[in-house]
Amino acid sequence: MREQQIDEHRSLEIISKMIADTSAHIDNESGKYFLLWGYTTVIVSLFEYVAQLLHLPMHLCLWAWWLIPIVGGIGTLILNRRAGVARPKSYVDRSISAVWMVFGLSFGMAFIAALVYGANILFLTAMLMGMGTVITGKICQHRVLTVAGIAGMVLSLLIPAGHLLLREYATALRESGITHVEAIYYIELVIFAVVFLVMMVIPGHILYNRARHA
Amino acid sequence: MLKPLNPLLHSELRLAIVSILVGVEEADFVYIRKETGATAGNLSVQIDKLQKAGYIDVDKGFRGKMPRTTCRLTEVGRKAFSDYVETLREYIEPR
Repeated sequence: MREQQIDEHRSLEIISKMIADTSAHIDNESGKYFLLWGYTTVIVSLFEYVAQLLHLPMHLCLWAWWLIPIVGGIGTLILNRRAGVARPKSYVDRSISAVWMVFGLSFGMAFIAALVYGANILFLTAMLMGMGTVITGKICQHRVLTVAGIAGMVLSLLIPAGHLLLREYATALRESGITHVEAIYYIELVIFAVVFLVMMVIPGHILYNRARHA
Repeated sequence: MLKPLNPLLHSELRLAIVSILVGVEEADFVYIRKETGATAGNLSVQIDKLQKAGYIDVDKGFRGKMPRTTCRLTEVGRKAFSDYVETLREYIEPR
C-alpha cells in the first residue's frame, strides 16, 4: 500500500477491508485461553481423583491444586505477550480482562468461604467460571461460549448431588473400604472435570479451529 | 455541489491506518505495517502526518527490551473519519 490518491470506491474498499480484518484479529485468540485453563483444570482434577484412589500422600494431593493457577497464570502471561504485537487492543479485550479479574477475585472469596465455613469449593468454582464463560460469550458474541457457560452452570449443580445420582458407584467405593465423605469427594472430582471439559475445553477447540480456518 | 473529501484521509495508506484504528483502542506499529503491507519508512511518514494533524496519538515505549510504538485514534481523528465517510456517501449516492 502506498501513499497515493484514490477514487471513492477504492476508499470504501479499504475501509471495509481494514475494519473486517481487524475484527477477525480481535476474535482470534479467545479459544487458546479456554483451552489452557480448561485442560489444566481437567488434568489436575483427574490427577486428584487418581491420587485419592491410590492413597497418595495428602500433602501431594492438596499442593497439586495450585498447579491450576500456576500453569494457567504463567500460560496466560505467555499468550498475552505473544499476542501483544500480533493483534490490536480493543474495548472487548479490556471488558473481558475486567470480567475475569472480578471472577478471579470471586474465586478467592469462595476459597476463603471453603476454608472458613466448609463451603463446597468445587461447586462454587464451577458455577463462577460458568458465569464468567457466559458473560465472555455475550461480550464477544460467541454463541458457543454462551451455551457452554450455561451448560457448565447447570452441570455444576450436579457436583453437590453427584453421590445421590451415582449411588451405585458411591456404594461400590464405600464397599472397597473408602469412607462416605471420601466417596462423595471422588465423585465430585469426576463431575468437576466433566464440567470443565464441557464448559471450556470443547468450546475452546471450536473457537481455535474457527480462528485457524478464518 | 459536493464537498471536497478531506485530503489528509483521501490517500490509500493514511485511510487504511485510520480505518484500522477506528475499531480498536490501540494498535501496534508492527501490526499496522503487516496489515497495510507498507514499508516501515513510508508508514512512519504517514503516521507522522496524521499525528501532526491531531488525528492520532503515538506512544513510543518498550515491551521488555524491544522498542514498541502504539497508535490510537483521537476524538479529532474519529470526527474527521466520520465526516469523511459521510462525504464519501454523498459522492456514491448523490441526492
